[in-house]
Amino acid sequence: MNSVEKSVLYLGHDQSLFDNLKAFSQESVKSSAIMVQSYEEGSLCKLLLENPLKLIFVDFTTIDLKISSLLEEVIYLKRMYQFRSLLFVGIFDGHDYGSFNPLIFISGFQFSYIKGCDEDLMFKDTFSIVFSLGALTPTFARANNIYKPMRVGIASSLNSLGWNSFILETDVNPIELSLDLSLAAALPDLDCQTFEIESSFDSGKCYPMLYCHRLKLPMGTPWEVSSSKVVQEDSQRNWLEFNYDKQVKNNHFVKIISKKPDLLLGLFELDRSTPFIIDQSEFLSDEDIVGQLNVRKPDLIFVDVELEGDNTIDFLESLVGHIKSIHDYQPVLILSNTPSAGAALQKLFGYTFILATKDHLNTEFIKSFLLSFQLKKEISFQLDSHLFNSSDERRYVDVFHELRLHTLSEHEVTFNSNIEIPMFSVLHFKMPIDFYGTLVPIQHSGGSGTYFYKAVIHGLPEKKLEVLRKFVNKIISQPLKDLSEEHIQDVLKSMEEKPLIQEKIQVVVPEPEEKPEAVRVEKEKKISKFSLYAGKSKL
Amino acid sequence: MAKGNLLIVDDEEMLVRMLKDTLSMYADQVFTAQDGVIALDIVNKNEVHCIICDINMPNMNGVEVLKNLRKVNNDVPFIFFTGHGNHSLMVEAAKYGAFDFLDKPFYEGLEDVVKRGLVVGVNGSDGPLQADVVMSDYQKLLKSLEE
Repeated sequence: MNSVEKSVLYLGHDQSLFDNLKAFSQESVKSSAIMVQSYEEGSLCKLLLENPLKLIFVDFTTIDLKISSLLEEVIYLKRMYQFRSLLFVGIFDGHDYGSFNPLIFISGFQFSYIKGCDEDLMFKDTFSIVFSLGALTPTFARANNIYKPMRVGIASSLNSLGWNSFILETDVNPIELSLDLSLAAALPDLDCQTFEIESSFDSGKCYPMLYCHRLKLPMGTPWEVSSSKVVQEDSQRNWLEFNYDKQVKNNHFVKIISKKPDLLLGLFELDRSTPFIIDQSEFLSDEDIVGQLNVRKPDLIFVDVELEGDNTIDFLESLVGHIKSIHDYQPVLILSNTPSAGAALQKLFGYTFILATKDHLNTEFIKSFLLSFQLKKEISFQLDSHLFNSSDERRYVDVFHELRLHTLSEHEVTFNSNIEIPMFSVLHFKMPIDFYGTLVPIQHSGGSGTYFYKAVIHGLPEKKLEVLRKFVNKIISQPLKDLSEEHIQDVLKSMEEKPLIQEKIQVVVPEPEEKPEAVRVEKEKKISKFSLYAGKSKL
Repeated sequence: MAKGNLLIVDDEEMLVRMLKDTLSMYADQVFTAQDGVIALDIVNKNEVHCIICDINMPNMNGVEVLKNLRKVNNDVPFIFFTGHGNHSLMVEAAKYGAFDFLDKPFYEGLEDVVKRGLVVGVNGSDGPLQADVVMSDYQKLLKSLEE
């Protein structure tokens, strides 16, 4: 690695934290870290244009910012394929979670850390992922062989809510055609937890998630007595009307395909200032075309053409082919930097809605085209569905999933799942205490039939960490009967009565030789790079 | 106002004659050529504002004519006559700048395409990129679909 390469950014003004980060970065990956003390809209885009950043720490305790502005920018960046592998880490105040906001996990952040906790551990956890350094973290006291079912939440985002359905963006692709979740934040009166999936797509829509599902709301018949199990069309339409003014975006997408990095900042400004949702890619693979076109259905697709190579013609043919295969979908393709006129290209590709210009693409052109297009098509906010703003806390949804807990330490948790969960998905554990964990590649190969995962626990303030530590120590000596809330409460209560060992124990309790058949794991196999992981990944 | 000069290139003599008769009212002067070499010579010696050319001709095909003109930075609007089995030549033509493709033997919209080609050839298409120009193309497109 080039020694002057700056791949780590710290956004904040805690000089001591930055000095430690800089030293760690220099020592472990010979990369220099940059400190930027203030955030302005577009700061991240500018920094990414100047530096090959891979890891970004945002210190929410020192930066004076509206979290919504920063989230908008992170979402904008993570929507783009070329920035998908950026790892964002949020640093928060430890006092009763302070400014912590779980919205970060459905906006592109994978980790959170609490100021004053083990900084070194934060660096090791994140650097080992981004720079493929293998395991750097120390071993903690670990309760093994728990083998108990446990319900967790997988951090997901509501995209929009209509009068009879809603769109959810998530990392879960369930085997069954339903999802367990609660819409209580958006619809507090609805007590239903299982929702039927109407349609699914293999791509996020607005947010950095891997799947997008349209789910049905349980509709009551007009003569049905109002209950918490169903929604009535009238009340849902009232809800939409009430929320109408809160919309800043409509569901219209604009796709820019260009290799010009300097469009990044200008396009972010357009994304922020127009009702359109904009994203830029350098190129789209066939898989991306299918995923993104099906789910986003951009109204306008701008392509900065390079006609010298046959690849571009192949790409355009493939793009138009996919467009034509989607029922009732006719976006306008604006091809720039092409020597040929629109009419010739329409006939070449057999698609009427192609416009062409000889000039290169620039944001001024895109902006004026968007405004004219908006007026021409009378694009406005829709009353039949409400698109949640990125900073609307009601969009955070836990999709519930039952897994089988194997081991627990104060730093990590391992478990089996009957469905595949993409690497770096964020899970919300509610027991024994409330905490978040991010899936990281495991140093075991998986057991047969189910998926075996490890999640790194993060964002726990010292007091909560202490409770978790005590809990782990307790169940090492006194295994759990089950993971029911009552039993966990009993264990936690007994810990309060009888103080337990408070120091960190750096010893792994050996696992017994016999394991239940269902969870027998193959021989441990060290892997040093997460890129070796063959399954789905968010980064 | 100048209408501009048109060049018709095709190895079918009868067709060239017929096209000349049909299109002469739209141009100040109509040149004709039966192969690519003669066409290039005419362009070298005269001011030509639009070319209609068969894409598939013996010796030098339409795309070769186009390439030779683009090599000397001649941006004249170039309309191709195409037929079945010409897709690879159309792709090649698109890389160097085709103004339109007309299906042989129907020539649907021939007069309109030639008129537009001559306007672009006379006025020149260079200049700053104007969103409203592209938008206006879009509006024309929508209108033509409605009609």
